[in-house]
Amino acid sequence: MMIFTHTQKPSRPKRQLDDSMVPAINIVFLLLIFFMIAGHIEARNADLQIPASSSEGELVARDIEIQILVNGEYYLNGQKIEKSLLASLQALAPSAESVVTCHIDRNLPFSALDPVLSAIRQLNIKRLQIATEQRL
Amino acid sequence: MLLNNLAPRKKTISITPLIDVVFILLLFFMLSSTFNQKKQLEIKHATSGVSQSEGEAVQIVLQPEGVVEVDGAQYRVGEQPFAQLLNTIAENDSHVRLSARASVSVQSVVELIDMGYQAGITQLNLSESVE
Repeated sequence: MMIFTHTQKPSRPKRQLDDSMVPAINIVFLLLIFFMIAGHIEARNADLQIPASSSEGELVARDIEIQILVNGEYYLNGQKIEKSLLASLQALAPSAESVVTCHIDRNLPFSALDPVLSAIRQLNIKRLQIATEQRL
Repeated sequence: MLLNNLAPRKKTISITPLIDVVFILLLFFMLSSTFNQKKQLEIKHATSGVSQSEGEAVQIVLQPEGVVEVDGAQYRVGEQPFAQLLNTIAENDSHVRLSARASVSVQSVVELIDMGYQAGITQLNLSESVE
């Protein structure tokens, strides 16, 4: 009898603790589902903070994507450009209907965009998209 | 007696490890997910069209510290005369050839393009920086 009462005493608070944890776990589950559905995961780069605008146009992934990092490195479709941007763009054989999407760091001087502008003019590409983020 | 004691103990599954995993998943999604959607500003490089009407195009050059040069005359970004000028350009449906000094930041150029689009300008051409 002594042993029986001894083993039951600590089990009661344990059960009570589990019961009070249930609402907390429910909320944690809800938060988890919210972040899983509402947010979207993407690679973030501290060297590439795109400018803010009040544009409403959604950014759609295109076939030609140029990234210009804050340290002045140019990436074309994820690959670093060692030679000229024009030659690298030419290798992709863009047509007049091609759309070039440019992710450029907001803190860069405007002259960093010059190679892109001159390359797309020489290749007769008519559409350039500058990726921006929503102003909060 | 010993078997009877052991049987109910095995049935109870501890939820603590489950909560641990859920917490870790929650932390991962909280820290890695982003909510602000990416937008874009489109610049239609009407290369052939601009060469035809190059004489009529309005030349806007953005200079440091919010000064804008429009066909030689100087304005300040965010002031009434410049906003009126943008509205007039939009009403006349004129071509705009936008450029900026090499030292001007990309953010301020994007802001100017944004202002132009909000005023209703549709034909905007971005050209290389000027010295």
